[in-house]
Amino acid sequence: MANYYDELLKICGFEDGEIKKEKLRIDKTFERLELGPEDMKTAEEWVRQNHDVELAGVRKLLRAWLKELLDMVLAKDEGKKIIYYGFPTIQGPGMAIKAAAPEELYVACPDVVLCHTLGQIFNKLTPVLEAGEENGLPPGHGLCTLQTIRVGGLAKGIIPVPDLVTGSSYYCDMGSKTDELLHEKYGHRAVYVDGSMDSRWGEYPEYLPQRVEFLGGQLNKLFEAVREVVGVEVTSAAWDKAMSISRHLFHSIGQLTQLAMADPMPISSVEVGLALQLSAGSTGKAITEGPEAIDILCQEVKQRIDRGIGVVEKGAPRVIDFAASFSDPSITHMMENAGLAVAATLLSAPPPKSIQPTTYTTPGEIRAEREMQSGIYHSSFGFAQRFVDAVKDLGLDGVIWGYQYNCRPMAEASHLIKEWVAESAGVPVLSLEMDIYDSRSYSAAALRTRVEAFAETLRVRKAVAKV
Amino acid sequence: MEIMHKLASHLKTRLVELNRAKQQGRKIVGYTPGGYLPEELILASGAIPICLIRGGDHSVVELTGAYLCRWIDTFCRAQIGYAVSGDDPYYSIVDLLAIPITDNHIRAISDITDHSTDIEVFPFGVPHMKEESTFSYYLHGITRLKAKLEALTGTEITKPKLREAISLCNRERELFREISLMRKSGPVPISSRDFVALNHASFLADKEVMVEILESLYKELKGRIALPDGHPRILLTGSTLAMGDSRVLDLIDEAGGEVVIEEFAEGIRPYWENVNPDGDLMKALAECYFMQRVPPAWFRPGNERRDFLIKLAKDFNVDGVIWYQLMYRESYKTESYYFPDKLKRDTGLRMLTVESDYDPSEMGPLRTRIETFIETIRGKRHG
Amino acid sequence: MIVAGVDIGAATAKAVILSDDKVLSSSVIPTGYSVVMAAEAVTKEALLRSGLSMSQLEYIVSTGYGRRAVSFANKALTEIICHAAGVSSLMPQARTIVDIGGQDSKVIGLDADGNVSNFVMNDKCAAGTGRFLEVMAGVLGVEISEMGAISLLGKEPCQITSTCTVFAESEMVSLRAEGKSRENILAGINKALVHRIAIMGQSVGFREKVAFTGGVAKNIGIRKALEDGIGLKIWVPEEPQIIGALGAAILAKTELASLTQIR
Repeated sequence: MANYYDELLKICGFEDGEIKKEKLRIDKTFERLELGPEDMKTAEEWVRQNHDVELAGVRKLLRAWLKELLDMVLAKDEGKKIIYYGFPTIQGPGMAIKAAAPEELYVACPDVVLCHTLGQIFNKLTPVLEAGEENGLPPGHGLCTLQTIRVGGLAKGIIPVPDLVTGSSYYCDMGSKTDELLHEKYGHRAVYVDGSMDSRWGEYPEYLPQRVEFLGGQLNKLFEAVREVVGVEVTSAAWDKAMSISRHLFHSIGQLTQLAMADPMPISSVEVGLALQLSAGSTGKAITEGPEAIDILCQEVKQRIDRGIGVVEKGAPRVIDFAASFSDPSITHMMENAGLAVAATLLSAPPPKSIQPTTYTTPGEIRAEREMQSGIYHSSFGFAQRFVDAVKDLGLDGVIWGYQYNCRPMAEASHLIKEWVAESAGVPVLSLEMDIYDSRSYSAAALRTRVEAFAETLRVRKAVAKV
Repeated sequence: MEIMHKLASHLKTRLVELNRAKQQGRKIVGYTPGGYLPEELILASGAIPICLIRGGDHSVVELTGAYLCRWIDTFCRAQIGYAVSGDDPYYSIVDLLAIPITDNHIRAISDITDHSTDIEVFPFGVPHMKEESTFSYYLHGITRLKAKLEALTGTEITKPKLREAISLCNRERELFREISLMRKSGPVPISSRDFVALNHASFLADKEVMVEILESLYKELKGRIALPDGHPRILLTGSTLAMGDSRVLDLIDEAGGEVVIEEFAEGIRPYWENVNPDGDLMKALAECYFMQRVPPAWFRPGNERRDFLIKLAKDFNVDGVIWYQLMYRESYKTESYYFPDKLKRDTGLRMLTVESDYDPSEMGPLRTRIETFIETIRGKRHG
Repeated sequence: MIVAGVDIGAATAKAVILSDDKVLSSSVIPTGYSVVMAAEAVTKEALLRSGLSMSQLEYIVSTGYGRRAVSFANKALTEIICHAAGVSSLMPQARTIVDIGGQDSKVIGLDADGNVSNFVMNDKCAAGTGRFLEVMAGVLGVEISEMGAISLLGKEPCQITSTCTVFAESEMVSLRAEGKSRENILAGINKALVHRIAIMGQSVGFREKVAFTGGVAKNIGIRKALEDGIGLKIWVPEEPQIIGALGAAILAKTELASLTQIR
């Protein structure tokens, strides 16, 4: 007995028995997502075009994302208590909460899940975005499109109403404001993990210890709210458990990002993004499915490296981008088709070498200290410095500063970051106003000319350097 | 009003005075508006505080294209324009620019001024919630500021000096409060344009001169018998009401509305609470400026401000609310979606949202919106 | 009593002359560069058609973005107020007006007495206005007057994803390159425009009956897309373009009546 989605799910690494076993859940999920036979045709074509599905590891990653989608859409039906966190997120707290009661809780960043499934697999994010626009976040005002997806997903009943949300109040204003909008509408509790980005330009890697204590205290407070709202105690044992069960995942991701830097680039940055962002969006399938999928992928990538197979030609200019598009893989492919090896993203770049052993004792402060040291949430200068470090450490030829225009922490210093990175790293920087969540206005076609011109510049520069 | 003329002439010579003071070795400390900078500290250090509150000019906003993209709050982009162009004498005169970092828009002023101009910047964080830990963080920020000011001026901020400054600033707030409260009901003795002008002046004027002016104005207003007017009474609220950005006030006026109370993140000095002059004065400053202050829309959550708006609407007997936000200040934009429902539920009042990028071409549609709104309120009252 | 309503829009100027409850005449001309001249010309043309002269007009209300430039008007009122009055006179059951003009679009809520209870206007962006259609017509080489009829033939509307006129323009080009039919592209454009109107109008709410006015209401494709988009039947007056001027004339009559009463 064939289902209209069998073909797609097989492309995405599902096995026959598995589809059979999950049939009811899949039917229910797809019905809620309004995904019919027509959509499967689109999706099959889209996935084949945009994902390296000849690699079993890629198929398994798509499968992990799809299974995460099922878990999310059905979380309420399946009696889970639901906790959402915001992106960007401090990795760890979500994992720790989930580890404290894995059977009872569903913990994720729901908009990131929708980007990687409705966007990357079905190419059908537009109705969700439109629903978000109709429910409080209108277009034309530079409002965060990731939040628009969250609002739209809830309005359409795709994302179940959570019991608790926690936002990145230490970084952006919009995530918190959206949590508030949704609280007004659905009444769930919101915990704002606050902080303050008040360092001076040039201050990184220095910072005031008070920033760590403040943010650390806020993270610790989150666990109290979890206990109050869903009755789950996040003990230090849960932290240790989260650390140990996610160690494999992060180790695998680290290995993959390393391998992806080979010349010729053996795998598209799109697939590295699938792996990397799984750890940012999910605490469930990221742990249960992620490591195996990534390990398989690593093996396949190694074989490609051994055979000298690449997705761009050997010797192509190597660049770092801020992040691979969360929802539209065709943008990153456009860059690669222009002859650029997107060897790294800011999210996958190696951590700074300056990280010292911690002297803090509470889980919150330990995480907060780590965030200060890693630069991205330290300040725009810290953010810029990470690009500079990556260029130097990885010997890159250029930087694509594809800033998220509707993300204020990036927009506030959009041009400064370009200037600073170009000066300090000594390589060309392409400043590209873009949207990694919503490609309706910032499509591959709209960005292509600038990227191709940049690629040409880098090639000429490389050729001249050789002479 | 003669007093307004006196104030205007004080402001006219203010820059000359400041230059003279600077030549004589006084330090001039600029700061960004938002109400989170205790001026008392600057005064007690012997420096002169200047709040940078100019705005409304589109051409200045356009100057910033080389420094950042356009998706940042219009007022904040304007400040960057003034700072990088060197066209604003107030920006050119400051020895230090203190910036309470409230949201990412204000942070843009700090980062870009720091990197792209010779102005020395001193940012310190304002948390977005009221708790013990956030109070400590704010207190730590202003304590750092105190040390910075002492180093800059070479003057120790002693307790008696600080107490004296607090008492002066308390008197200023008190007078603003009393004058504002005269508009609670019945005929309005002072127009919103004058009240806003006083507020803006207080950011630049000599503090003692300002208090004197407010004292005599208060006396004059108390003795004045205003004629009943019957204009629809408006609560004007929003993100920033900058000095030089008078379009909305003018249009409300032209349309026959009367603004009786203003509430803004930037542009109106918070005057509802005083600093306790006894005990630990640094704590008292943090208490007043952070804990007691009704916070702007970027607070998480922002319901304290929204409840306060409802209270103001009731206390000041308003007939409608006009919400004036600048482009790309996302916290205001987002709240303007769900606040009208609450306002309607709690007061039966309607709200008009208007938005600006300081662009002259917005004038026509802005006028249509405001005229229609005032007209429909009038229709309702008479109908 | 004989009164007039003069509506000076960005693209066209309109005038309506009313004798008590009866429309004596109306006229529509392009506004051109001089608002002052357009106001005079459009009023004179309407007067000519009714065989009256300026001095016979007892009261004149001007409206539209050029309302303040009509020096001979007794009063200037916004087009929102006037549209409400115009629609209510023709369709007293109307509770919502969708008005899409050349530069502006509006959604107006009406109470049971036909007064404005709430309204929204488009922001700076042209995506939800007649200007959007004009630009798209230009790109596709279609006459504006034909756009509606052609779009009705598009059975599978293209997904026009861009919400910005500038981006949508380049999207048109690539859709054409992909070989999408003109009909389907036009149907997609209508959907995109209606989406903007739906977002804009949500704070007012769409309640029956919904009247659709303004120049764009003549476009049959947009009418259908609007009905589909908001899920309600819409009513379009016979001459949707002159509703503002008609409302202004009706309000002129009311003003005059109250003045006479006072005297």
